[in-house]
Amino acid sequence: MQDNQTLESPPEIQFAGVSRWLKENLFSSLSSSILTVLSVAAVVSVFRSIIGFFISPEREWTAVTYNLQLYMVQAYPESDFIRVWITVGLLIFLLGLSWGFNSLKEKVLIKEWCDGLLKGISSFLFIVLIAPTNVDVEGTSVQVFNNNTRYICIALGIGLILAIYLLRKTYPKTEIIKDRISFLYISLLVGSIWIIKVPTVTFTANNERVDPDPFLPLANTTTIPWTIIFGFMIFGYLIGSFLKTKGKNSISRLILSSWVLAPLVIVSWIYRKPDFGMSNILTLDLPIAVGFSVLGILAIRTLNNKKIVPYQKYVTYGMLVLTVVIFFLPVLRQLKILFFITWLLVSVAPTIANSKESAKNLSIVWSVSVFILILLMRGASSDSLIVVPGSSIYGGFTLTWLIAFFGIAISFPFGVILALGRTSKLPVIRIICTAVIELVRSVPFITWLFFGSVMLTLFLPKGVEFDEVLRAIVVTAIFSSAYLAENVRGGLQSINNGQFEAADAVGLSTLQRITLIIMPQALRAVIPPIVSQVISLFKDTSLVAIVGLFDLLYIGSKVIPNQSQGANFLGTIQENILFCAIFYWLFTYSFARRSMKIEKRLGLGER
Amino acid sequence: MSIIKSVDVKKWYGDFQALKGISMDVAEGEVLVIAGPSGSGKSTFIRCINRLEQHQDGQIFVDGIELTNDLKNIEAIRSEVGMVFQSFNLFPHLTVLQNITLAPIWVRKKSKTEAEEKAMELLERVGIPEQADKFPGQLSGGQQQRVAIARALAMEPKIMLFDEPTSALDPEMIKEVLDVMKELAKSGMTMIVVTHEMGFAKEVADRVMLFDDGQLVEENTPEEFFNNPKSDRTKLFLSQIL
Ligand SMILES: Nc1ncnc2c1ncn2[C@@H]1O[C@H](COP(=O)(O)OP(=O)(O)OP(=O)(O)O)[C@@H](O)[C@H]1O
Ligand SMILES: [Mg+2]
Repeated sequence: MQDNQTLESPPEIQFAGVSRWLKENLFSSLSSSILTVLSVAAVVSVFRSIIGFFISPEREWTAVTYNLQLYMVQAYPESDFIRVWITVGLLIFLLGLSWGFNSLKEKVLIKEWCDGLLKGISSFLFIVLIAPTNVDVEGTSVQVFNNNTRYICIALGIGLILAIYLLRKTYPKTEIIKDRISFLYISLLVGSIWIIKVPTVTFTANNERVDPDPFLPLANTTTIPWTIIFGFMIFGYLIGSFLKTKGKNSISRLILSSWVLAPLVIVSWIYRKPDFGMSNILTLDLPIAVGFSVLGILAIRTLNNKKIVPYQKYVTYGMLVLTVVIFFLPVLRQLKILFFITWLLVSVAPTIANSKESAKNLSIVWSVSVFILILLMRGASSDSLIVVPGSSIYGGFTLTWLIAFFGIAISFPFGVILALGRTSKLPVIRIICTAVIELVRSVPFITWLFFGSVMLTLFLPKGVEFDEVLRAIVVTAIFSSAYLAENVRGGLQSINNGQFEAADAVGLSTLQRITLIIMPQALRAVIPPIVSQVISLFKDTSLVAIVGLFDLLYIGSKVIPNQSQGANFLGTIQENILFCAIFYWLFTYSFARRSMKIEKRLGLGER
Repeated sequence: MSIIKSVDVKKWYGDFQALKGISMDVAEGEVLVIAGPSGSGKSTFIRCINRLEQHQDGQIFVDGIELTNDLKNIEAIRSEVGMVFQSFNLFPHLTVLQNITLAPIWVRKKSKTEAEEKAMELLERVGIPEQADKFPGQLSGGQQQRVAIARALAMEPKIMLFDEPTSALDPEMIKEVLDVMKELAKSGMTMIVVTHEMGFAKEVADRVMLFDDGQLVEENTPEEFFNNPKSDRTKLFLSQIL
């Protein structure tokens, strides 16, 4: 009964509202009516020709659907695909975990959600309505969209609209958790790969191409893995939500570090399939790891001892000299790196581990990181058992993702350090940082890529060699840090001097002042330019094709349109380029949307 | 026993001499008000006391430690001396509670729960416990300044410095901040207050000083300062301000 009263909003009034809106905004005068009609006509005709382009029989979309695997992993051998799936699964599990852990469990009115859906369905109806029936193929008109299909689609759309309308009426006040809606969409997506069928190409026994069979499921080999991975995602989400109720700080730190670790584990162990040899690990890595963790723990324990304190400086200098000497000795690369981080530990331990509690924590962190680091280095330095025809096991979207992710991740700390250096009071540091930034910025990215590919080896000590992908990542990271540094510097300048003074006045050290007060504010102030930088970096990864790497765009623009063997997709450049464009757009747009939300959430503190 | 002592402190900005030899001392538990015309060096002087500015000549001792370039001394002194600014200078990206607990956690190495308990106590004391989870931008000026006082007090300082804490506030908010400061003065805190609020000086100050042109021109009890000033400069100043 009560419901009926609250439902008092008859559709007539809404339609009246619509017509009034139309009148006021679109048909307020003769000239505006003409303008409205003309622009609607223009929009319709443009959309018509775009849709016509997509569904014309001239388009060979099988060039895309058949080559999806090439697009994603390029030449990665099919026998080892489980590694690719583990990679994807791990990342998506982590995604679910952080999603569950960070979710605010925001709610939305079912009504509002329905309004959004209605918009989507109306756009679909619009497209169905204006889709051309015939298109011109080499002078003759060919039917591409038969009217029966159109009517079925329209009926379907109207049915959906009615259903949503009903839903809207029956639950006017009910709220639903936003995450559930997202899960509904994702499960529809995953469900659709079981049901929706897309044309692709098959071959007969004697390798003859069979023409597109429109009812072959798209890449039916992927349905089961994707479904399992979807399960993992939900699992991760549930674990994340559960951990959130525990609400420990250490858990969020753990999740954050697994985001740092997972990509490293992927590139050094999972994707590479290293040929490691158990004996190496047992006789070499394990003793080294134990040795260094003991060494580190000893350092942490003793350096704050009253008797040692006066000699702290000498220990640090001694360690530095030792590190430099070891660097030039012909020993395992692992040792060089370990000595370097031990030196870092020795220099920071006295300040960080100033109480029993923090000394214990630091010891644990140290031992765990030494073990992980050694294992990672073992994986990364062993030969890969994956054999591919090209120069690298990374190709297609995997390569794009890899360069973008590591390029950005590495450039963040360096960019921040460069920005701080450029604003430093010490002239030497300031001049060096300014020089680096200006030098890197003033030379085109492609030039740096060439430099990395051809000339970098000349500058490195003999015997140190990087693989082509690593070089591309290093160059990308350096290039991006210079730009990031300038963005961050802009943020630093926007911070009021009073913030520095207040931080000093409460007794924070310089490092604490930078990390706790200045940087969080500076970075927040420059989220928009950083987001555009990340987006353009993601797209600029396509330039690595120039040094012989097979990224997504290169496969779409060069590799597939030149395939003359097998399926023969010679000249299918339009379809492939369009696909690449949509693919890039999907990623950059969702990233931009995401970061807008984050900005809003963080914006709470501003004002 | 004086807790702050300055001996012939001089300070230049380029060629301009902002402090021309200030000698004074403050006893423990004393409330000292510094008055003076704009540009007379009041801010410069109290900022020298926690080394936000460096003096170039003379000596300053805080709690027996001389202020030198030694970083350890500076950090030790800063955690003993709380400062409240004219423009509040709260950290806008942190909540009120986080603003207050930040330094106790990171500098004093207190546990989070301990620091938060103390912070809530202080918010209670300055009269805004219900604002703990808001961001500074969501508070009024008077509330922000009270948070700033609580933030300084959270470090359990021996000395509090106030640099015109009410000058950026609307008249109706001035009272709420002054009330907090009066309560603090009564609790026995050593305070140096730069202010134009002569009512506050009359009511709670133990001593009033007048700065002019980088010099200390008069130092007196409040009664004497307002009713029977020694120097003509003070008479002129009082006639302008009252
Ligand atoms: N960073 C600076 N660089 C150059 N000159 C400065 C600087 N800070 C202050 N001064 C000068 O030093 C003198 C004293 O300044 P100070 O801020 O101490 O004055 P004040 O007594 O606090 O005045 P007010 O009541 O206006 O705050 C002023 O003439 C000012 O112009
Ligand atoms: Mg001042």
